[in-house]
Amino acid sequence: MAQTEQLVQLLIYGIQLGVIYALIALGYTMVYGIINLINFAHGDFVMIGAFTAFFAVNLAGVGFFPAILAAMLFPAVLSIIIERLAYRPLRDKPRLSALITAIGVSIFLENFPRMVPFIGPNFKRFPELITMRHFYVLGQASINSIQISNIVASGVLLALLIFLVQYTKMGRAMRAVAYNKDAAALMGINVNRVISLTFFIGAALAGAGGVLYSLTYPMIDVLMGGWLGTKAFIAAVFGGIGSIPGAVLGGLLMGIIEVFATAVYSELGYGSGFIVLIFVLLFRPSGLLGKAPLDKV
Amino acid sequence: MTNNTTNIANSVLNGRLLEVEKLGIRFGGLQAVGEFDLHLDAGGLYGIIGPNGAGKTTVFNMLTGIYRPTEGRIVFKGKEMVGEKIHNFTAAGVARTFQNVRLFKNLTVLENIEIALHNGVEYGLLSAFFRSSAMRKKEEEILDEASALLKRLGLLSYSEKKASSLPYGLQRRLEIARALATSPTLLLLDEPAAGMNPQEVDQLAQDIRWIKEEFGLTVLLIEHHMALVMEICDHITVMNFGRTIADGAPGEIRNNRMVVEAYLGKGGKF
Amino acid sequence: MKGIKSYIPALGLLVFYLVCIQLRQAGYIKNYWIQILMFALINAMVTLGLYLINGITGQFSIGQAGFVSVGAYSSGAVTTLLFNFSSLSAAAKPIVFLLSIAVAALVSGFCGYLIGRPSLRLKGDYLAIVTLAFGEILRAIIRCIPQVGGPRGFTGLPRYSTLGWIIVFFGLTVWFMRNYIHSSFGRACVSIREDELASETMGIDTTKYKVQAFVIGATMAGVAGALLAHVLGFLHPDQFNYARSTDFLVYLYAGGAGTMSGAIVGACVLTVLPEMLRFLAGWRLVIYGLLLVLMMLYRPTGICGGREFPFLVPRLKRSPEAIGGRHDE
Repeated sequence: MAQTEQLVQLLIYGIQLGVIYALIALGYTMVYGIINLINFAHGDFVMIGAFTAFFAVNLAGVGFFPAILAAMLFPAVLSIIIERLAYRPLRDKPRLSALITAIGVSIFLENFPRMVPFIGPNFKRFPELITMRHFYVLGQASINSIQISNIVASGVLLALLIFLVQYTKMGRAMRAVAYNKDAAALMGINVNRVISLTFFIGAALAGAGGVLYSLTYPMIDVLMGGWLGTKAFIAAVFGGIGSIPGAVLGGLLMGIIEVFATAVYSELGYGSGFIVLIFVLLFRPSGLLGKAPLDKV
Repeated sequence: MTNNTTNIANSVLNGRLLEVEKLGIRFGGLQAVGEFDLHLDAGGLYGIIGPNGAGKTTVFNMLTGIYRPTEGRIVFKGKEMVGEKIHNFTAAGVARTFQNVRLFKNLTVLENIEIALHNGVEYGLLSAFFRSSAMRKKEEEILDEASALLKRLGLLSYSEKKASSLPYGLQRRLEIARALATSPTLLLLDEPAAGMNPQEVDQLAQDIRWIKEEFGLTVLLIEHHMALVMEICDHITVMNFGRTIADGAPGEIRNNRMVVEAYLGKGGKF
Repeated sequence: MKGIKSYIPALGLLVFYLVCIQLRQAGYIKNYWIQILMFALINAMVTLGLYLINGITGQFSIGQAGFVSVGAYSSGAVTTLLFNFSSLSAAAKPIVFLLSIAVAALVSGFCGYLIGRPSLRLKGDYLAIVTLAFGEILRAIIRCIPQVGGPRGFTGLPRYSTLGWIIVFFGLTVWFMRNYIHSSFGRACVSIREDELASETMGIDTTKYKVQAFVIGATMAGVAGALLAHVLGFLHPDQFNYARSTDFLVYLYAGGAGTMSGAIVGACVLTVLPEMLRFLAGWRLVIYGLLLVLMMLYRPTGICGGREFPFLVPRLKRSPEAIGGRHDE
């Protein structure tokens, strides 16, 4: 393959991975933006989404669209329950209590399915929901049907999210709560409902991310959410945590950097994103699109 | 404790204690303070007054290194201070309190003072790790010094209380005590009377005068409480919109038309 | 009076050691439990280092496992690559072992400085991410060094750490930490946690003390890593991933981040507890996760509830003159 073709090919891979990171990063960033919590359990909704789709397809025999819908709904409802039971009582406590709780929730979410007989600790093969076809875009460089559906599905979800946040009443309430919870409450906004909704949306996007990821890399297990979550989290910080465009930008860059670094040297792929992150933070301490916190004297 | 006579001797050597010339700062496009001049002689009691948003606290923040001015000079004891870190301002002898009281709330009154005595500590890291006898001796001295200071300010009986548990007036007093523990020559008080009732304000006026004499200080304060400023200050600078609009002894300021206008609008009267 | 009292904790540790050894020889406790105890104390050392950074100085580091790995690998490199430990004479072994621990302390302390110096100006969560990223980068680097086994793991380390060694280093760590916290330096660190700006206006060079706390915490983790390497005899980069770092975080906050006792008790209880739950097989981690959540909900101050063992608080006598009035004039 010629060099340009190779670059284009890598770029396609990078974007495909990047949109998945972006979808997951959105949940981190939204929850952080609204209650300043690094939701360590967020990555596990990716895994739960993937397994929901797995069972929806294998047991009910549904296709791509119902599967992804189920994979968004189930984790979303679960996340509302978890927020209600585990995080809400700690909202006025020191922030770290909620963080440790999130770690506890994550340990629970990763280990409970392992013990359930029909899931267990072993890898499972994710069903093929989209027929694999290749389209050549430039010489030998090609894009396949899964990559296209990943990018299109992410784009649609992102557009929906932006519409929701920017142009609806609920979105305005979300922005208000993120800006100042107490003032928002005084304006008659139901803060609890807004926070629940934020968790709902975040987990739904993570669930969708889980399905899209599993289409590409069809071996799923209960731990997949842990490290996917970490990378998406890094992406969120990279872009500026709390910022929705930042999460998208961070996710895309993270995916692209990782793919290119792996192409250079396979052991480099894992650490590369982190190295870039450190450099970005040293020069832009609040991430690419994040706002610097103000310390009022 | 700082010694009255040496402080004054020092400043006589260098002329003025603090010279601020054409000080200014911009935040983005906004000129928050500009062309600000201030000359303080050792031993004086100075005030800055002005309406809300006039830039008074911004001046304090520049005088203590929290903001770095974009124009002008700050010369303290003959040394150019612009660009120095906050803790170097403190080491040079500038101490301050904050408008909204920034104590170490969860620590005891005594600990608040001990922390401020940090710069007097001479033992090294190894002494600390091994808790050497020299270290223990120095720690005992710090404890004594802190207790003595608390006693002088009438706070000794609270020394084991959490700072946040003190009544508001005492918290303000503790914040002043903490500033004094850094052995300053210049003490900056940011709205010391804020939130106080008339009796407390009277007491505060006495306290400030007493502290100034007792610790051999020069005091600069920001205040809204006009009676207090007029009563205790030797010299007053009036700010509005980031600029100095008047400057002089309390009597002159009282009769200055621009000052009256800034506060009360045209046709107003004190 | 002071002379005798201050040795009681050290004597206590010695008695504890002798009792453990006797019980093992008499067959009442298995080697397995002795090993768990060793892990518990090593974890407590790492957690104490983290306590200094997070609990005392109020920074937010979540990359503590990275420093453990630096200590473990560098000490392993000394005993295994630099010297051929098993061929050394019995007299040389402890010297080389101590040397490897010293190297581990230096290298991890230096890494602490390298990462702390530029990144401690970041606030809160951003600092957390850098420390996490740093740990992961280290892991990636170790994978690329074939001399220490790369991704396959570092094998053949001498299993020279004994309960005795570990108790000595644990005791020293606790003692040093207590002394540091109750010194002017420790107070400076606490003031940064309470209000960084106020601390700076008290004349405290906050950057210096943040870096200092970070380096000391990293050094302690490094020493613990060196001991761990020579308990396990085998190291793998994945032992030190970010999940391991969050373990230390959990030990600290579950024990109670407000006190040294919390750090120690948290690490010991949460190291031993999963082992005691082992009869539950895979369910133990499910229960562990649940317990963690329940504890944060119903006992947010941690196991120790903010209390400190009395011997961890040195007392000073206030001289009567200070209160009596001699200083008044």
